[in-house]
Amino acid sequence: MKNLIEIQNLKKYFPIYRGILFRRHIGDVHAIDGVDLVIPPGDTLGLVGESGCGKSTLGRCVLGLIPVTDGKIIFDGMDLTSLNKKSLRNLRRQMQIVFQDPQASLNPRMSVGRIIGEPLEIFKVAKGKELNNRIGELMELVGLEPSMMARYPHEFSGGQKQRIGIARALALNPKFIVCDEPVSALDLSIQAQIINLLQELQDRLKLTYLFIAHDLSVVRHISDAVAVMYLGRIVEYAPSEILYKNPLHPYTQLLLESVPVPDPCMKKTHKLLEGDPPSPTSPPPGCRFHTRCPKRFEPCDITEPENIKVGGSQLVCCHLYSRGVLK
Amino acid sequence: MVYSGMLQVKKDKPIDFTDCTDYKNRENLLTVRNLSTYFHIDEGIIKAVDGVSFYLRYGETIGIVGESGSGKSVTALSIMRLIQEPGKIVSGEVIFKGRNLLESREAEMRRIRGREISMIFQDPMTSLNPVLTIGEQIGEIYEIHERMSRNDIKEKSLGMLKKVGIPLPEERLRQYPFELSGGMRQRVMIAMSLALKPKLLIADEPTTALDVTIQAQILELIRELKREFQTAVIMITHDLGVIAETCERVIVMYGGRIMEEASADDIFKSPMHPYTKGLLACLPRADEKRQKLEPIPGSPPRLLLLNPGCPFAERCVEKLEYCHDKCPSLIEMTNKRLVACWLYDRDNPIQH
Repeated sequence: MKNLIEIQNLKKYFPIYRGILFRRHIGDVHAIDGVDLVIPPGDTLGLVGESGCGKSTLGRCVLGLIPVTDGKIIFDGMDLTSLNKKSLRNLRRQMQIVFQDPQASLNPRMSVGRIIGEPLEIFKVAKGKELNNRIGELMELVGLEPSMMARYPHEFSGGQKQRIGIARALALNPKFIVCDEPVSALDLSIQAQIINLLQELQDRLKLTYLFIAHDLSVVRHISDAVAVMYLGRIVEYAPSEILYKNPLHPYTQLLLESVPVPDPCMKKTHKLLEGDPPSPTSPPPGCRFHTRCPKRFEPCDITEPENIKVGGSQLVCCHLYSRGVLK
Repeated sequence: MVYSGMLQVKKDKPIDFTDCTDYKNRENLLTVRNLSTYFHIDEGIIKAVDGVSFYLRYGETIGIVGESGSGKSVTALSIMRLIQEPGKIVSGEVIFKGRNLLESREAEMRRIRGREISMIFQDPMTSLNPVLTIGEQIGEIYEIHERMSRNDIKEKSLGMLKKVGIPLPEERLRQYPFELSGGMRQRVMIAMSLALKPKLLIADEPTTALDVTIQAQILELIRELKREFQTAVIMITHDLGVIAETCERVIVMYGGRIMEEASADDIFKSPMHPYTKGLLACLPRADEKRQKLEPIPGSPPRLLLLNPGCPFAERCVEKLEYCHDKCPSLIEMTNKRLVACWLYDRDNPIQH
């Protein structure tokens, strides 16, 4: 099966400047530093990691919303990084994004109908009555009453606002949607409604998702495959069931260990992940996780580990599993 | 049981379960009875907390769980008497170590806050003063409450920073909040809140703004310090995982009222209230694969428009016809559990 998205050796550095008159380049934030990922059509790839690991930046790069420093993003056979503005804009019809904060991502001075209809107007897909019909359809699709079209965002609750954001993303019949923490600002009971909505829409419209979240429980529930990101790198990638049952990378293990389990009988003494992640301006040499890794040994702080395939479908980037060491 | 006879009380007379021994026990650190806090705004009255009662023993950890607008934070602020206009505590008692805080003078409250009851908040960036160093902020507590000398203050502050596991404490004392990471800031907040060894710590969503890895560190720290200082903790959160890991007893709130109270084991193993059941059914889990989530329909209530009945009635899948008209009161079930739902109330209008 051909992949819908292929990311090859993607890098994104944000330059840091100092000085006003004599502005000089004093370093870079290595937000993404050599990421390879693929997403088959119709799948959901979950992307998890601590804050600042570069997961949102990755989502934005994949959509071509920010220019990349190096690497390739191949969407449906076309390399986004080599396209000019005009063709990139046309391609954007097929990929959309849903943001975390529904409050901040909707223009408070536009009616809901105009918010949802704006993409249709921009791409001149529909006009007049047809436009209104389409907006109504979209609202019904996400479980909103079409009669509320003329209302403004502040008249809706948090969950409904997120539904509006989803309807806007669906307006142009995209193939691919980046969901950037779409449920983390919502209440628990609403969170489940939105997760179910996203899953239903995926089945009905054959959508492909890149699901970015820090909540490991939500990611397990919705994803077919999961990539774990640490300081701009993917440290482990596997089908979701395999990753949650048998995490290989020490970081993934500790991350899963940290999730509080809603069952008092399971109360366990956590193995804690010590300290904070290092600054992405000067990532540590060798394996980026070696400063906090409980299982570090000799080569970890010198040589960078490579991706190693374990059991056919699990990729892990750790010296523990490289053949030379296992001997 | 104190209650066995009480359930037969005529329905026009509300059952006062706070008559029960648990609520009269002088050994309780904190007893909250019928606490109501309303916000009077132009559009009407918002009953943010409406008749809430619970108790807390010395050294106990109790969890208050609920969605936004359930009244959990306002309950905490009411205990500390930090409610500001247009909010007002309209009725109730907050009995802390035998005296009613709602009748105390403001000067007395100032002595109690920080020394006897302290609080940590969700966002450590906004609750620390950005223009004072960490050392000045911790030192202020000792300066105001204990009138210590400068050297003592410095020594004590250093000791607290070490206790909460902050590396290089001498350096941190001279730093400003923006120079610390989120987890470090929350550690500083905890150091400040425990500086005077209070008997009660109210933690209002202490880990919500943090990553899971840092959350695990902070929860472990709170557990450790609780053991060391013998502090009772009220843990306010919407995260059922955090509740399961830290609390002995759990209060479930919705629309300003307590829906259910039980031990943590009972809440998770055999939830009784339809709301608690709903919450557990819609929870995605990291430790097991769930086929489909069953969300609670609708959205949290707008407190201005609350009808006289049970606040959850609108979204309840098991609602009875009169749930909209009359609000059930908390009644005691077996195993010291309390639940406010007509399904369990023998006093309910139909079964009579």
